[in-house]
Amino acid sequence: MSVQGSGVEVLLHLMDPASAKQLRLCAIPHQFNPGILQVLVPNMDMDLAEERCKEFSKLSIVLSGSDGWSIHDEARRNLFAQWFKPENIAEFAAASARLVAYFDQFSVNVQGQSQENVRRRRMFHLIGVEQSKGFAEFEQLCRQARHQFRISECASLIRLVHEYDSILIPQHKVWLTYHEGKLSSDLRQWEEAEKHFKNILEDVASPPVLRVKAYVRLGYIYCEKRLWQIAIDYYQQGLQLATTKASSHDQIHHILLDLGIAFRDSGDLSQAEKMLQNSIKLAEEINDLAGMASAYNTLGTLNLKRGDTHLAIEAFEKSLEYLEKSNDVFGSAQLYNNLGIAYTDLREWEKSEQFYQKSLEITRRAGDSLGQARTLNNLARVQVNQNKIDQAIKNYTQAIRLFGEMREHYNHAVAKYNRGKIYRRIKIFKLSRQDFTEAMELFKRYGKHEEADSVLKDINTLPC
Amino acid sequence: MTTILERRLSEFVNRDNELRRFCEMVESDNKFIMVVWGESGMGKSSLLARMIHECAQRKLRKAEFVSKDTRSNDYMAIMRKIRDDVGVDFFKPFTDLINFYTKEGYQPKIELSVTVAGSIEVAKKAQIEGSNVGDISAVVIKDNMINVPRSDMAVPETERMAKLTDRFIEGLSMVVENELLVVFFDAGEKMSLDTEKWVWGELFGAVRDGRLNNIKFVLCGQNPPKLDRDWRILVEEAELQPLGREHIINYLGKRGLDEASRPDLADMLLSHTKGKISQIAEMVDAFLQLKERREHNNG
Repeated sequence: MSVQGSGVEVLLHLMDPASAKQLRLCAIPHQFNPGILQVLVPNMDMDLAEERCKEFSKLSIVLSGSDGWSIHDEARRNLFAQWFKPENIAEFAAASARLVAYFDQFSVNVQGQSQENVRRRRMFHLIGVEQSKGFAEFEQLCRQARHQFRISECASLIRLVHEYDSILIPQHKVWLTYHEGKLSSDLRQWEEAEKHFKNILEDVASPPVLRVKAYVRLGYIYCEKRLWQIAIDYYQQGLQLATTKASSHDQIHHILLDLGIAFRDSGDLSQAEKMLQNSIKLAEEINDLAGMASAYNTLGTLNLKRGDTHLAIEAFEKSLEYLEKSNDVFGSAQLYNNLGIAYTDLREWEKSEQFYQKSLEITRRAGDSLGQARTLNNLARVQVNQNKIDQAIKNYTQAIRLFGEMREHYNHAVAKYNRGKIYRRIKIFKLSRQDFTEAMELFKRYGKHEEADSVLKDINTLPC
Repeated sequence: MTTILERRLSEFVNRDNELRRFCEMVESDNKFIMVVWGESGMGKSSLLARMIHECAQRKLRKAEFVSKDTRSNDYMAIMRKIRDDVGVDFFKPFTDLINFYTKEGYQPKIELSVTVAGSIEVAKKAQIEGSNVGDISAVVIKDNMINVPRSDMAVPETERMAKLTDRFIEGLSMVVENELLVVFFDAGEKMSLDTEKWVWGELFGAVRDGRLNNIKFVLCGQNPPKLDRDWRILVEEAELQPLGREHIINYLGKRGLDEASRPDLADMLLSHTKGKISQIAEMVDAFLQLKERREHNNG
């Protein structure tokens, strides 16, 4: 290998050639030990591997840790980059292949966190053997992590893939940009996310299916910012592209659903309904049960907004039907809650209470405290209307505790405010004042001054 | 045989100012975080090793978390590592809850609701509902070391984070009740943004809000901290600068180079590396390799 100017290259040039070569190989994995050195240098016996590791450990660039030795990041980066040169790449691929096989074997004997670490390392080296396979593995791991809401894990995986930046093919580079954009969105870093998705649109290597996704993601960003028209424009661009490309046809009903939500939230309810009905029709054609469930649920909320409560109930019931067919065990909690809201609008208190109780049962089983708190809050309101005061107070109290534990400050304040109103109604003014005061303090602390002013008005209605 | 740590400590130069500020921070009632930053190769990890050694000499309890590319670096990994460094017995409810969130079918062994009134002294002010604290010590709970949430429940991530953090802080408050703890974080630049937010918001936030006392943190990384005025009061900030000529000469002495050659070698190294410590170390390694090879050839 050629010698360049950096200190580590000078060091390697002056080392025994065999040792220098082996140290370069040790820069391929992130950590090494005698076992890994034997993988990197086949036919090396364990005694020599241990001796070599000890020799390397005397160098300033080698650090020790709980999982073996590692080369200092900057030195490792330099050495790793050398492996991508044309004269070295074949040997690099062969060493990487041996590491993949090693981690394959290793993964059989470990579980849990250790197995996850091994899978990560295996993925990293697989990219060096066969880029497409390795990248596919990365996408699978990243998708799994996102599905589990493990954002930190996605960030680590993306960092690892970036080590191959100089040899990533354009197709993989743009897809990596897409994953980075999704990560930024998950972290609510909208500017960063927008930059990534716009880069995809500007990149000639971006395939149509990715462009469609980028448009949709830009739509999400602007929905989050509540800039509906811009969001709708992006969705429509995505839709237009998706309808012209066969590879994107399966995205169309999702985009129509997103458009339906955006139109609904912007206030254009008739356009929203049109989009949602189209989404349902297409989802039906391909038997996407989850897609139909989502679209019907959104149609239900649209009808609630319109005041067409009976139509809303029909839509929610349809959504529930499809959700149950798709074996989504916990998703129905939201639907039961929505049905509870609908029957509250109709002042059918008993039915409303029944649906809230069903929702509560599911959220309890799911371990979803915030879901429980929201439903308890709704349930308590219904119980007030039924004059079930004790039960209402009990449910508000539980909701308050759960909102507090979940650091949901706004809802915490709202629940206290609601409970304060009940205490006032049953003339327990001391507790009413306490709840109102605490609610007001919470609203003020988190910048909700209008709400704080409303509460103050209620405090002033209490007898001294 | 000299260990890598022993070698690092023996070759440590400069950074006396940072070390002094660390010691002052440990003894201070006002500051509880030290942030050390500098570009790669400036000697942050070596300084950290020196601080850890200082803690050992003072018999201070410590915990360390190093972010790595090939390992999980999230909030759960941090809490687990601190727990394992400090002693698992204080954290049984925490471990129990992690298992509950990650192992299918797992039922909690500890039904414990602990509320801590005001600032801390758990034993005095805690109200423990539903269980006798003495029972917990008899319960054996082993962490299944799974990261993935169990699929037979649907606990939102925000809830997992909030509840695990609360349980962890409860355990940590018992650890630090009678004894100072120093927690070291290295390679902070490898922490994801959400983990960083958790560290500052939840972990450091627990100290700032008075829920945790008697604990100090050192955070090493490549990026300067973004602090508002309220945080600045509580944080000791140290940006590592390149080595100067005298320090390089000092370092060369510790590496065993003869006195006569040190000044010229130091000038050469300063010119080539601009005082970047990792590059200085690499060049000295190379020089010593050359010397060894010549001695071997001259035999």
